[in-house]
Amino acid sequence: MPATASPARRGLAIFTWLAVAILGAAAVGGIAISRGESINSLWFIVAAVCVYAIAYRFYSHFVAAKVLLLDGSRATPAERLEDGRDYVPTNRWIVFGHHFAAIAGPGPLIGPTLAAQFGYLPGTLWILVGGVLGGCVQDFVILFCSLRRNGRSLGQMARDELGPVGGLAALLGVMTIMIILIAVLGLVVVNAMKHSPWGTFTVAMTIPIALFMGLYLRAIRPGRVLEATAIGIVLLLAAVAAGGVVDQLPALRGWFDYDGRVLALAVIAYGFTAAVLPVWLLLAPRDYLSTFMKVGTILALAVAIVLLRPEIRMPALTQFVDGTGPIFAGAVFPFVFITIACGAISGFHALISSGTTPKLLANEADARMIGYGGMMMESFTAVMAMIAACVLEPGVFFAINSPAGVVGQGAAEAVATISSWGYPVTVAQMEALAAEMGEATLFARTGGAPSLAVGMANIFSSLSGGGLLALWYHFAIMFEALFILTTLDAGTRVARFMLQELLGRVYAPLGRVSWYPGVIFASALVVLGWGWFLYQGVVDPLGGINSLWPLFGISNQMLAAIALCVATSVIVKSGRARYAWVTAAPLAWLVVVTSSAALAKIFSAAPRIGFLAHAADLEARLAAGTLAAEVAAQVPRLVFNDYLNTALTVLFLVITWVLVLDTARVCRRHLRGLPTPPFTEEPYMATALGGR
Amino acid sequence: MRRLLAALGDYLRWLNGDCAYERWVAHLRRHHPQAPVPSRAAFYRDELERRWSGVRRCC
Repeated sequence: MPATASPARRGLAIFTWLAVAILGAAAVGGIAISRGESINSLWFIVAAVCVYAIAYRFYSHFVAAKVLLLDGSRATPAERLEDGRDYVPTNRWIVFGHHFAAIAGPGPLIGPTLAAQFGYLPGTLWILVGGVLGGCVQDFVILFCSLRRNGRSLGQMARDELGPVGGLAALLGVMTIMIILIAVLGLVVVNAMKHSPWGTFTVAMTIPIALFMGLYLRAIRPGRVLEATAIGIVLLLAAVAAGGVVDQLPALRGWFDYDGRVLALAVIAYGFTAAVLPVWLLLAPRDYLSTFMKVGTILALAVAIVLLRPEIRMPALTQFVDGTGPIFAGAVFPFVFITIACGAISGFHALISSGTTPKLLANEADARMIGYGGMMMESFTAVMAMIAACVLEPGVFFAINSPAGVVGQGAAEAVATISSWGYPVTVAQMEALAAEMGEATLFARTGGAPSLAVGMANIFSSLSGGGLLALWYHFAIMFEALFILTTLDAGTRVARFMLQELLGRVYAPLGRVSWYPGVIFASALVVLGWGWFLYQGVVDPLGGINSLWPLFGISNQMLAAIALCVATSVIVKSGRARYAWVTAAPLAWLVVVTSSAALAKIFSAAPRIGFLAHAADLEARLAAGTLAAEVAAQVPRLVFNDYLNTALTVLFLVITWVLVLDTARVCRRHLRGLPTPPFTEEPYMATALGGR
Repeated sequence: MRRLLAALGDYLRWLNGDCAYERWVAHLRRHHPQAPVPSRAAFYRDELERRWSGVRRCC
């Protein structure tokens, strides 16, 4: 509030914020202590909105005014370096839209869905608290650092502020996270399409639609993006409806009915093709479509939840907080904190906050709304995903999400296991649900996408009068697959550039991004990298999510730790070490969480948690001859995979600790007045665009 | 209502890069009046290649 506010307005403001605080506290308290009877999802919305409002008004203001000294009179890179293309001073609402569309992907939808196995409470609290004290701060501070450094990337800032060790660790970290991210997202799509002709047809149709848009934008109406997107969306909706027809025709049905292995190979082949095709043909048009669908659907879901206020059926806590959960193994600490990365704190955002966004901001003061506010929106998306997962009957939720290796192969066996946990579900109920959704079965459809789609279909369908469940279900599957495949294309491409940069140091021509053999070679290596993990995930008897999602969470939180290291060293070097806790506290928490999770994944004695224990268990059972012949044949590969996963986890741990110790060293030297890599902030220049 | 729709349309055009070409031409006219102005098709082609050479999307 301005300093000149009259006492009356000041009083009103204090009263309003007090009311928001009390309402928020009541809602959070209500969620936390509610036991037994079901609770309405409106409480989640109220709690989230109040927490965000207070955090934005007070905490982000504190960070802006005291820690970063955000200065609205200072010229931004967009103004100083304006080139009409990358550096363009842009209206803040447009930057906000850009930034949100770039940071929000499938992560905040899938993570909370998986974490719902602990009950709604741990995940929801982590999304809210981790969001406002961790993720929002990270995005905001990194955006600020990049703004003051001509829009430099996280890797460059790590090298400048911490030295070459930090820089190399950051580059390696980003490349490995990309490989794991693509593998796990590919697995989600494969599981959503498995034996689902309708889903497979719709997802497959997104490819010719994107190709058509690419050609349209290139040859028919160059650069008319809005037009092409509108046509693409109409075609996409038509494809969802047509999928229903295909599903009914026995002659066509067989063409789109595949098991996981075939689909995994198809996704791998697609990934390679997309990476070597020119961007205008496939990647760019797919991205136009997916951005539109993503933002539109998230907004529609928010409106639908507020209008319908569905009841939450999941209990606050389940018995699986002890680590025996069927979806992924591991106790609530530390696993809820790595399962929900996007939505609470996601290191990946630091790449966006230090990429396109800082080159667009017209005023430095807007960094608060874009960085902090943008992440609040994503956090809210995660809350909605949590709601969508928890409105399902818990028995149904577990039947969809539990792999057959845990609950048993047959339907009867699965419902018996799940009902014995205290979440009653029947075969008839699951069959009726599958028929309603236009699927052959909904048992063991792991990965989070099908259960999220069932939740969304229920919500959207009640809005449209209760019908069309199958259509909404496949709309939701298409929506998820669309932007997962965009991430897959774009991620493969970025990983390829990074690999080419590394390979170029060994043999110069491999580094040239336009030399075709180099492009093919590097793309093939990247695709083989994630393709290996994807295929192993598909054939894994425990369901690949159990091993891959924690690896993804650990790597994403590791990247967040890298970003917070850079942020902390910048704050210390700017002479405001007394406020370093703003980034150092979330950093410390992340280091504790990632290290405990990584150590558990390596050393835990439980075969479903520890990679080494799993390998030992398999070998012991092979030696004892208690394995079925087809599993016995796979043992060498499964064991190799356990060792590979162990090695990756060790790599993540080492990178995190190298960065943290390096940051501590640089900060300590700075505080003692010893030489450190120089503080690289650009000098002040007054804005001519009318500062605030 | 019509003004609201027009504003929404402009917002979307900015957001997805529909008006990147107009912006670039305006920039050229203002800062480099002598420079040749590329065609819409040529601009779209280079622009995509350039824009997709970094991290643009998150998980």
